[in-house]
Amino acid sequence: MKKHDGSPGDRLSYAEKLKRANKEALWALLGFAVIVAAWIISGFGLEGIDARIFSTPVWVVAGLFVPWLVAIAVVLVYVRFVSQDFSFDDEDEDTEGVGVADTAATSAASAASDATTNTTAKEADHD
Amino acid sequence: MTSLITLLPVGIFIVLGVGLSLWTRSRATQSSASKGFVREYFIGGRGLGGFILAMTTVATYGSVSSFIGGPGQAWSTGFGWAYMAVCQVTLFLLLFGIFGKKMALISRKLDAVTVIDVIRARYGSDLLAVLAGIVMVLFFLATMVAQFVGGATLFSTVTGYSYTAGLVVFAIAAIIFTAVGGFKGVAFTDALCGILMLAGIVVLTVGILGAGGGMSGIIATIEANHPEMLEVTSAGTMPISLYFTQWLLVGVFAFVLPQSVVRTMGFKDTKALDRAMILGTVIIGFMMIVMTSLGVLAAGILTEDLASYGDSVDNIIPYTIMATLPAILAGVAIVGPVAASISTVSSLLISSSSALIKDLWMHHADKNGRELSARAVSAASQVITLVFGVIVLVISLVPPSVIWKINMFAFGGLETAFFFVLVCGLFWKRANATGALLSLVAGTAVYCITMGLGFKVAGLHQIVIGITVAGVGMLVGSLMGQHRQKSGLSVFFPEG
Repeated sequence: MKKHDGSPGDRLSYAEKLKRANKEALWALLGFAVIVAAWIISGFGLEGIDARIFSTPVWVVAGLFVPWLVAIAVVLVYVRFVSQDFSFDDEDEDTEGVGVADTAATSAASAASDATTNTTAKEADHD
Repeated sequence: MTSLITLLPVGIFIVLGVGLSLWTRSRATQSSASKGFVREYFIGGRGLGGFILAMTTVATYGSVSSFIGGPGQAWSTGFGWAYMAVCQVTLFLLLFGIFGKKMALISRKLDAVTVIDVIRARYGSDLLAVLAGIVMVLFFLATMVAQFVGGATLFSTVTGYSYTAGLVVFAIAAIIFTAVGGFKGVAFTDALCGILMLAGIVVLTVGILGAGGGMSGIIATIEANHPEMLEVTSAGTMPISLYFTQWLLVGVFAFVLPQSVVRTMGFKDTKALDRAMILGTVIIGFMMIVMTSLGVLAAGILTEDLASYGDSVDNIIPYTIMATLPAILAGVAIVGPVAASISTVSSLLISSSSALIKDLWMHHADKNGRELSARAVSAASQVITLVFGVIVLVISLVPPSVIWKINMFAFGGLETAFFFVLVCGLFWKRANATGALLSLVAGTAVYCITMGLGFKVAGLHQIVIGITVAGVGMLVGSLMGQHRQKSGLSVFFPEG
């Protein structure tokens, strides 16, 4: 499986990885709030505007497509700046519970993908 | 129309799906130990990459309701319904952002392959695990029936062949996809289904726009017949309170559905998660927004009142397909919803069989110190999948009406049962078995009873009552009760 590839997430212990996951979950909630705000503004917010795009009321076109585009933007930002790359394998201590068969089954696929993963390794923690 | 040419695309889809299942099975790692087998069969050896992870999550979540029930409702309500459906674009951010990495780490540490495994380990309660399994399987059965009924109704309406014939064909396909390939087979056939769902939407879009005289023609027809369909609140049929509860049902709480959560235990690495989050958000947005909007636009084609269309909004999309597309393309268009139905059923079948085999039978054997052979577990898993498939088939023979309501009932029930149990289990150290039991049992019971009686508070959907009771139960139980000795706090909240 993937070991030290130089990315900062590589040196985290199991406990630190879970802490990191907690933090990322909070960022996801913030992103969710942004999408909700965009949804309210683009639909309810624009209902009063009496204009048409492709014969369709503005609130319909904006309300349907703006929140989606905002969601895509939020997810792109999340992946680029929040999500940290680390290995899911337990590297710090015992390997109890991490099945041997599991490692064997996925190591070939993982090795193949490592070549691509390494080149795009996540940069520093952004906190 | 009874036409063989309409059947062709569905036939090709099923043959491809079966081929894909067999191929997945031939590539699976063989293991003689039962633990190795369940890891491969129920969670695919945790090897899913970004593309397959995104597609299997979309296909599991995107159901026949997204293709038939929802758009049918939109035909009657207007653009407000489509605007509401947009809330589903948040699914991937919530599911993968909140659960993704934590579940990946914890399930590896525990060697867990099902959501119930994780719940049992967190709270240290076998009773909770059994109850969670029962609740899950019952709601899954309801969802699966809705899927089969929707898929088979569509099939018989559009092709002219019998409802029962459609039902049997889909049931066999879903059972084969699941029993042969296991979790990985389901994931790969889901990817195929997802692609066909998108293709079906594109074909139907072209058909509707062509038949209705483009956007301008369709909007003009709608405005002449039902001007309120262009308003946000649709002259009161789409009140703010309905927006609110639909947001809760399909926007806020949908990420705790166990059939989605299990996917966060099956992917390879953080890169797969990142890619799936982006790809999934793009695809689910396209699917839900365009498909639901097509329901509204169908009002520019089907202009009579509902009684002319068999008095059920579930008939709107089938009739629209027939009215706008030639036989071969109608065949392509119905593959979308059929694939949506089969992919959801296959994901629920694998989760249901894992609940029985892994969470009940194997756990029981483990406790009594009996080692089960991989062969016995494999055979039992396939038999259980078959049995569940047949049960659902039989119930579906006498179809209940209005698919999206059955689906929404099960949606709300699963959310009520699992929201606090999962979220507090992962993020609140004080949450304990007493709280989880209270939350699951009281929340689900109150939800089902108020649903059955039609009792509402302030006119809001019963999810509000169910989730409130579940939250109070978790809070009270956790503050009053103690952690069980077996609860795995050190795995979920390690020191340091």
